[in-house]
Amino acid sequence: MLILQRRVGERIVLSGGIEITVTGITKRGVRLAVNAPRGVAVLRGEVHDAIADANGRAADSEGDELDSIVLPAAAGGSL
Amino acid sequence: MQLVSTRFGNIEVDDTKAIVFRQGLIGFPDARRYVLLYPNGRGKVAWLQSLEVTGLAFPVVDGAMLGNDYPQPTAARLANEAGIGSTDLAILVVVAVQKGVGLIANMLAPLVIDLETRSGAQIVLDPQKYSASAQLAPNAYASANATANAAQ
Repeated sequence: MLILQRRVGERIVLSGGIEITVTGITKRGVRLAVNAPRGVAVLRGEVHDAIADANGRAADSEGDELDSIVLPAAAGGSL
Repeated sequence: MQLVSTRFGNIEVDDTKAIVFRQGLIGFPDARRYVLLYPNGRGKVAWLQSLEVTGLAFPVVDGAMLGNDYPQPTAARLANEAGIGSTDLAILVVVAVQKGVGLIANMLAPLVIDLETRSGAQIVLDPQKYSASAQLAPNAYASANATANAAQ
């Protein structure tokens, strides 16, 4: 793992056109500005993890229980 | 093409209908191509089956069943930011069954699919507004088991 020391206004540049700038440091935390191209998701770690966990639980679902569920007509899907 | 799905066995899928998630789903970046299966017909939970990871399939429902305003108007903008066209946008929500709770939906991160290009992305809405494991109102769907038990 790479650990860097940065001051306010200094940047870290990642390949793929991603830039992270330190914009402020207070007692409450560090403020970062993230610049990334369209199509690159930028998520808070805990939000990413909550979604990844929910996706994982869904993929591990017991099919039988889901099969018993009857959805309203609107849920028929257009695909 | 033939696909040996861990969940559905040996199935024939139309890979010209594949939906490509260029970034994968969140937490599953390496599975990018999917087909949508309705093993129990319409009106039941559908499955987004990976074409690359045969053991991976996500149960999904149409976002329309989660309310008329869900998840508009931000979905189209977020789809664009994710590189997905938004002229003919379908919205799917990943669901799961939680014991003693019923159907839970990942309302925080719906799947948006451009039906024209069949490209998709999992977008992230406002975490202050939506939960990744939202309990659906019991009147939003019916459980055939529950109905059968009640009838006895």
